[in-house]
Amino acid sequence: MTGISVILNGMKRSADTGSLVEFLQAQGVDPARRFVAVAVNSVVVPREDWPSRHLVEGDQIEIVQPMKGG
Amino acid sequence: MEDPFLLGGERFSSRLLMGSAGFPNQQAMLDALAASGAEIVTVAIRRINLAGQREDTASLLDGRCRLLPNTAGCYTARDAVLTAQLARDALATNWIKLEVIGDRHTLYPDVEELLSAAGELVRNGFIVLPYCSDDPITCRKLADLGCAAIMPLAAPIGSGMGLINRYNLELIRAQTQIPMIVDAGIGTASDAAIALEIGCDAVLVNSAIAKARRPVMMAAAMRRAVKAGRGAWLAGRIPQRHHAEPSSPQTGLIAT
Repeated sequence: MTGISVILNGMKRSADTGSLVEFLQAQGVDPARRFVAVAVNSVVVPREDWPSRHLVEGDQIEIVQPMKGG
Repeated sequence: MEDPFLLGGERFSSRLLMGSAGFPNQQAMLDALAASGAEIVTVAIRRINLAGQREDTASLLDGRCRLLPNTAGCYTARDAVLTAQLARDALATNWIKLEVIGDRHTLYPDVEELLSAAGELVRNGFIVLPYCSDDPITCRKLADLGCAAIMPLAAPIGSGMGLINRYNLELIRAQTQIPMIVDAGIGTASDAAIALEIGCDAVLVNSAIAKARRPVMMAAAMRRAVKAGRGAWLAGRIPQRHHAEPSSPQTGLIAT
C-alpha cells in the first residue's frame, strides 16, 4: 500500500490509501462508536459510506462528537 | 390547565431548556437535569480527543432528554452549516441551535453570517433555533426565513446580568408568532420568571445553573420560576399605575 499524508483534526497524519473506515480504525476510533460524525474536505461522509470512501493525499478529515455545551 | 410548549412540531411540558457545560462534575449535571425538569439539553460539537480521554456526553444524556446540538464557536456561516451537518449525522437530529459568533469578547451574534446560515439550513431541512441579538428586525428576518423559533439573548452569554433590555424583548414578543426562547444572560430565578412573565415561551439556562454554588438547588429554583412566570403571563398582570388604587372598600368607613 502506498502511504499518503492527510490532515486529521488539524494534525498531519500518514495513512494508507485504504478506506476511511480503515483509517479510523488505525487512529483508534471504533467505527461502531455511536455519536461520531466525519467530514472529509468539509463534506460530511455518512457512516454507511465510510467503507467505500477512499482517502487521497491532502484530504482534510474532521472527526467530531457531541460534548458538553450551552 | 394543559399548556404544552410546542417547538419544531413537538410537544414539551417544560419551558426550561438547559445547557450541559460547566457543571462541577457529571453527576451534578445529571442531578441538575432531573431537578430542572428540562426536556431539551444543549451540547456542543467538537473534535474528538484522539489522545485518549473520552468524554461521552451524548451516551450519558441519551434517553434522559432530547439533545440539541449547537454550533457554538463558529464565526462563519460556512463553519456553522458544516457543524450543523456533522451534528445531524452524529446525533440523528435535524434540530440545531444555530450560533454564529461575531467576536470573542462579547460573544454577540454576527447577524449577517447568522442570517446566511439560517437560510441555508432551513433550505436543507433543519429545524433552526437561532441564538440572536435582541433586535426586532433581526428576529423578524429569522422568522421570515423559516426558523422554528427565535432565541434572543437577554444579556451576553455567561454574564448573568438578566434582561438588560426588557423593552426590546417585549417588542419582539409582540411582533413574533413563532416560539421565542430567551437564550443567554439569565443570572437567577427571577430573570427566568420575568422572561416568561413578559410572554417568552421558554428560557435556555446554562451558566446560572451550572455555576451556582448549589447547581441542583438552582435548577429546581429555575423550574419553579419558569412555572411561576408562565402562570403570571397566562393569568394576565394588572396594569401598572403611577398612583395608588385602594384595595379595601371605600364605603362604610367610620368617621370620628
